[in-house]
Amino acid sequence: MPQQLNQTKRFSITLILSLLILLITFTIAMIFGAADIAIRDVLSALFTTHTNDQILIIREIRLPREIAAIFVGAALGVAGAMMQGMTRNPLADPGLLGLSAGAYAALAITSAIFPFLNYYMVMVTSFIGAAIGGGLVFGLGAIKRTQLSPVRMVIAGAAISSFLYAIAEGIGLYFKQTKDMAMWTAGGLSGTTWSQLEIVIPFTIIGIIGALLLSSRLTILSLSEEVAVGLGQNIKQTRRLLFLFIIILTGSAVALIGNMTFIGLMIPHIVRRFVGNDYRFIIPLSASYGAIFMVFADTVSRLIYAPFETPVVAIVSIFGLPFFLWVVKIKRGAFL
Amino acid sequence: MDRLSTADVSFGYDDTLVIKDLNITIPNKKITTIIGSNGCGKSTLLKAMTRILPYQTGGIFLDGKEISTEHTKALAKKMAILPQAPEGAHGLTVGELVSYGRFPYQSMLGHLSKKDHDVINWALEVTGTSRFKYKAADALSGGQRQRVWIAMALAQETDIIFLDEPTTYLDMAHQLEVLELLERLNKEEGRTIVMVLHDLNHAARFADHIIALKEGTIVRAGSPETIIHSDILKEVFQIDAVIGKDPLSNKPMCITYQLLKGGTQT
Repeated sequence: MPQQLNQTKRFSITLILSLLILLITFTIAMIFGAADIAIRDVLSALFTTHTNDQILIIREIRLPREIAAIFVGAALGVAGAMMQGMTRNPLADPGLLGLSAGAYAALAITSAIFPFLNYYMVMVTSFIGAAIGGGLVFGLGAIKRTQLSPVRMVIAGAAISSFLYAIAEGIGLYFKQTKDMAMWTAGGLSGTTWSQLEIVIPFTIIGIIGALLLSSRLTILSLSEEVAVGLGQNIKQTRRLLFLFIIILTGSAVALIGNMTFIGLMIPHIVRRFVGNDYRFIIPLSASYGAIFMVFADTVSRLIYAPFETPVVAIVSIFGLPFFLWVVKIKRGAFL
Repeated sequence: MDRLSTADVSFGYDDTLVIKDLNITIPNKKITTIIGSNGCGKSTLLKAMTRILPYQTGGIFLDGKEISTEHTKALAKKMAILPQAPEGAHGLTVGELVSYGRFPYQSMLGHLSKKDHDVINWALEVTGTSRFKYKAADALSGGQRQRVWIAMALAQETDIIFLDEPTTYLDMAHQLEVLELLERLNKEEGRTIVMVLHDLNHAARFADHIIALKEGTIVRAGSPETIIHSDILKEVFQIDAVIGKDPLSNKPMCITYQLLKGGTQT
C-alpha cells in the first residue's frame, strides 16, 4: 500500500526520480534548438576544452540559458511553497501576490534612472521591489480585520500588480525603454550570460538553503499558529525569515527572467501529491521539479515555432491558468 | 508547591480587556477544569497562560519566572497546549504529526534522535494510535484525530498539559475515551492537566479543582463538591440546577436544570 510506505522512502524515491528527469530534460534542452547539435558536442562542451561552432553555442548560449532555467524554476517553486505554507493560501505565488511585479517595477526604475548600475545593486533593487510589492498586497489584505479569502488575496495581488506594471510601463515610456522591458519579459531567458549567473546563483542558493533550514518550522506554522507557539516556535521571527528568503528567491528569479507567474503556484501542489504536506519534503522537491518544469518550458518555447522563439511566459501560462482554476475548484471550502 | 499562578493579570483582544486583574493558582499534579458560559473568557485565559495571547498588565508565573520573559522554546519543554479543534493536518501522516511534538528539543535541521523516536512511539502507544502511524491524519475519525493531537502534545514531554475543549465534536464514547486518557496521564504519571470543558458533569467527574468564570472574573474556585452547587451554577450559568450524586463516580452531578424564573439576570 502506498500509504503504508515510509514517508522518508517516498521522498527519497521522488527526489532521485526528479534528478533523473532533470538530467534527461537538461540533455534534451542542450541538443534541440535553432542550431543542430549532437550529443557528442554536448559532452565535449561540458567535459573537454575542445572548441568548434557547435560547442561554442552550447557553452556560451545554451548552457548558461538552461542553467538559468534550473535556478529560476527552483527559486520560484521554493518561493511558492514557502508562501503557500506561510499564508495558508493555496493560491499563493510570487507572481500572483505582487512580488514579481514589485521586483519588475523596481528593475524598470533603476535601469531607466541608473542604466550603468552594477549588477549587485540591480539584484538588491529587485529584492527591495519584491518586498514592496508583497508588502503592498499583504498590507491591503490586512486592512480588514478578518483575513482575506485566498481568492480575494489574489484579486488584491492582481490590482497591485497592474499598478506596479503601469509604473514600470510609464517609466519605460518616459525614458524610452519600453521596448527593452518588453523584450526582457517576452525574451525570457535568452541572452543570459555567465557573468549574470555568477551573481544571481549565489543568492538563489542562499534562498533555497534558508528555506530548507526553515522547512520544519514552516510545516508547524502551516498547521496552526497556536500549535506553533505551543511547540515553542518564535512565529514572528519565522515569518520575517520566510519573507526574507521569499523575496531573495523571487528577486533573483525576476532579475534573470522577468515576470513569471504560476510556477510557484503549480509546483508545490504537484509535489504535495507525492509526499503530503511536510515542508521538509516539499521544499527540496519544489526546487527540483520547479527546475524541471522551467527547463521544459524554455525548451518548448525555443522549439515549438523554431527558429523563432515563442515567449516562455505564454508557454507557462498555458499550463498555469487551467491549474489555477483547478486549485480554486478543489480547494473551495476545504482548507483555506 | 504549585508551579503555575497568575498575579493581577489582565488581557484581551485589541483594546477590550476580556479578563481583568485575575489571580489564580493551578494546583500541581492535579486536573484543573475551567468552566463558564460562552464568552466568559475561559479560552482566552488558557491562551494567556500558554503565552499564545500576550497579557497587558500583571503577571503569569511558572516556577517563579514570568512566562512573557522566558524563552519560548524552554517553555515548550514545560508546558504543552492543545488548542480548540485544531484545523486539519493537511496530508501529514500521524507519525509525522506526532514527531513535530519533539520540535522544542530539536536543532534547526530537525533530525530525530533515538530518544525522540522512543518518545514518539510511546506517545502513539498510550493514546492508542500506533496502528495509524503511517496513515494520513486527515483520514481518521474525529475521535482518533483528537487522540493524535494529544499524542503530539505528549511527545513534548511536559509536566503541564493545557487542552481547550478536547471533547468537542466527539461522540459520548470518544469523549470519555479522551477524558480517561487524561485521567490516566494524571494519576499514573503525575502530569498537571488544565482544560476547558463545556460539560459540567465531565468537569465534576474528572477534575480535582474547578475554576468557575463569569465575565472575566472568578466566581469561585475549588473542589467539584463546592463548585457543582446550585447557588454557584445559578450565578455562573443563570440556571436553576438540580444537583445529585453520580452513582458511578460518587461525584456531584447536575441531574437536570431549567432557566431561572423571571428572565436571565445580568
